[in-house]
Amino acid sequence: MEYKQIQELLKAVNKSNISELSIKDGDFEITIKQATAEAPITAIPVAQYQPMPQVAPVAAAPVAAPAPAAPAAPVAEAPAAGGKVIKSPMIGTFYRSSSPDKPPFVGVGDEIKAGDVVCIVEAMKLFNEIESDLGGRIVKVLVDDGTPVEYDQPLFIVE
Amino acid sequence: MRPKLRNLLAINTVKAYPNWLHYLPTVDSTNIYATRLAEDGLAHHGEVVWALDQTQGRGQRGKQWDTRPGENVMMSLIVQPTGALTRSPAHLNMMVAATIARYFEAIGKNWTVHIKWPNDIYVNDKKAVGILIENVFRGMQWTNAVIGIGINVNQTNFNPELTRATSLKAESGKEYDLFEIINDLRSGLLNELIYYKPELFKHTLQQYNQFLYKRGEEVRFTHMPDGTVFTARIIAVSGDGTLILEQEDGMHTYPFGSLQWHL
Repeated sequence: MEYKQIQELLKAVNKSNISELSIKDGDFEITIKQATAEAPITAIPVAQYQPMPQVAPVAAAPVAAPAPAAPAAPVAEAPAAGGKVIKSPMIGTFYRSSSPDKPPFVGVGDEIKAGDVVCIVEAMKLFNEIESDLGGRIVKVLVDDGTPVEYDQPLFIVE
Repeated sequence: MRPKLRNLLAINTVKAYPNWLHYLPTVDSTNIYATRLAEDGLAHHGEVVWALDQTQGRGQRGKQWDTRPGENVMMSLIVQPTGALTRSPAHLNMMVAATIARYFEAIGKNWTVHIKWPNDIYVNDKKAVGILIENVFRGMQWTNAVIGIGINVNQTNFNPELTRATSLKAESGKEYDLFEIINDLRSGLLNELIYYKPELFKHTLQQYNQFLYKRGEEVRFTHMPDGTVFTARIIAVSGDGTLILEQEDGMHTYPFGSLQWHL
């Protein structure tokens, strides 16, 4: 299937009431799912970043079958009861230490106070130290060292 | 009906695609594609269309760009005009140019980086980047801006007629990872948008002018509307994006797209 055809299909499904469509052609298979019932495309919430619902996997890897409907962005894990979350104030790459041979700024069990540096987020080759806006004990590190983070993505759970 | 895409995809080195990326081996133009996505409601803030090859790549006023498949960055970042910045296309344009210029200073420590008004980036006196921002309207509503960025990255052979073209590799001798550049620029531009406030525009304008190509120098221009050729000294770019030139009879301002440079 040509990419353009997939694109056309997506449009068609988007404009229809179909909630799910599967097509098989030899070893090529594609499944398109509507994210919600209120799929009509006119209103895009302006303020927040939407991690592409169903379209991205198809666009990104046209040969992958079936196209998953699950959002690929790491879903914010619900903080443990009573837990608070330190979120990423920017988009970039998350680092737990100032350089590969240095120990992490913080680890599970560490007590931190507001203003302590907890990680680095690198964007455009600039390394930004991220300070915690709250105090407590780190109970979970939600992101792996060296992986991309989006704005507002939870990084640590603090109790 | 075997997808030919499969072979082309193998060129790409990226193992896992982030969910914000629309990756295409070939496309008419990433800006056209991104605009179509936006018009169809299939695009969201922060998504990027990336292609290895463009069949209708274009620059300002339809100028052609000599590019070789897989060697250069062709990307279009889709943003929604929310913050103070994106309400003014001129401000958005200046922010994008200044952000890319800053990035180049970070990756090329010995490079001389300039912004050639209105929206080209020059490295060591040659053009390395073209920017083309297009806006998508639905009815009267400005729903999206598509920030098209073309960067000569790993290309080292250029059409001999383009004596003022260069690439990052031509200037540093290093091979670059295309995805890394795309990812860096996306982060950098979106971070700018997140924290943009009207008060910050002064700073952006100042930065843009610090990078301004041939500032204080005399340059020959063609005035596009009537074809007159003249020489004038470049003074600065003003807040509305117009170029301020000093001519024999005083200062004059020229809007976006009204001048052609003679270099």
